Amino acid sequence: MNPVLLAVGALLTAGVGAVAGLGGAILLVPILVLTGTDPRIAAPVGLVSVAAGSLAAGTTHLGDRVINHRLGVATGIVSSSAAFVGALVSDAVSDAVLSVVLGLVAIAAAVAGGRRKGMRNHPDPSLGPADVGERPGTLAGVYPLGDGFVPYRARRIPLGLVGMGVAGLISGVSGVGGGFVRTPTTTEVMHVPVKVAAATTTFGVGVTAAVGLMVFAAQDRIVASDAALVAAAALVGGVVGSRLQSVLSPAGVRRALSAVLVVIGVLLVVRA
Amino acid sequence: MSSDEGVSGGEGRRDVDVAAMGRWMARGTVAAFALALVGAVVPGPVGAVCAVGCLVVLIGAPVVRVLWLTVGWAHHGDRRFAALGLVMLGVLAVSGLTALF
Repeated sequence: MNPVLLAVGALLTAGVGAVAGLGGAILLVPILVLTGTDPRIAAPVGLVSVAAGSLAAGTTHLGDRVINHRLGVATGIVSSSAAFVGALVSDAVSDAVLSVVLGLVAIAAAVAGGRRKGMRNHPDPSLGPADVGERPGTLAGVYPLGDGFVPYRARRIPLGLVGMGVAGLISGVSGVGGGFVRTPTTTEVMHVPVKVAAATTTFGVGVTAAVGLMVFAAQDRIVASDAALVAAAALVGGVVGSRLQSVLSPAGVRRALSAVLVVIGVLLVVRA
Repeated sequence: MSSDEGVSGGEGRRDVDVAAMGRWMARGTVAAFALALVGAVVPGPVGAVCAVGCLVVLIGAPVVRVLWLTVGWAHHGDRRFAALGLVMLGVLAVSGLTALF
């Protein structure tokens, strides 16, 4: 693999992944495959980038108090279990059909998020800095936005969990992270603010990537020097992306998410 | 606390110290970056060991984070989510072990 392409690709895709809560493998893997990398090598490289981006972004997201770990763990159980099932049945689905379906899902998610105007969750003047954070025992919380503090609560949880299951199945069948389904599901179905959704998904895809990397390591599919190069670049990309996310408006993050989803959708359909 | 979003329940209850978790994650990020840099540019066994060390940090960090959350939630009496954390760790363990063996 071309080391410059690898480093630049990992830097950019991890940065974009951290801004929009997508992980980044869904972008990096098609780019590598389209430029001639063996898919069996590209998939582990993609997961290294996701794991590194998630670790790097976590520090900023934790400092900003925008992650909802309870939501991440609750949805992660469903998506990780579904990813496991998906991996077991992955041989039954053709790559071409899968790519087209993934591409259409990405474009539909982009349209759903891009069409929505304004904010669902508004700052509450009765809230202060002491209220920021998760609400123990619930899937609710408060996050800081500019000078204000915005309350939120995950809605339509059963339907959201179905979306997480679909994301997990896609992840397991295709070998890419399911962040590009998880973040839109969290915002558009569960009505969680996009910054919280992106940060929570970035945490969740890091957990899923850890399992995938264990599998790839056991299968001896990880080239250590390539993985190190990708990790170094993705760690920088994750830090930059998460800092960019913290200064962007929610509408800006949503537009960025929609734009990236369209690119992903087109890449996947072209790949098919 | 009142709000249109109905964020009620859990107010005033202590929770996991995310600031401490953030500090440890920052150290993990620096360690992973240093190992990755050496692994990428130094040839031979030193580079290979550092590259593998970087992978160990990347795989271990999220698992430790879920474990930290689970213990913290249990410690602060949030039993429902502590149980979910345990289930998550179980899913990770089963998936990892099944894939390995």
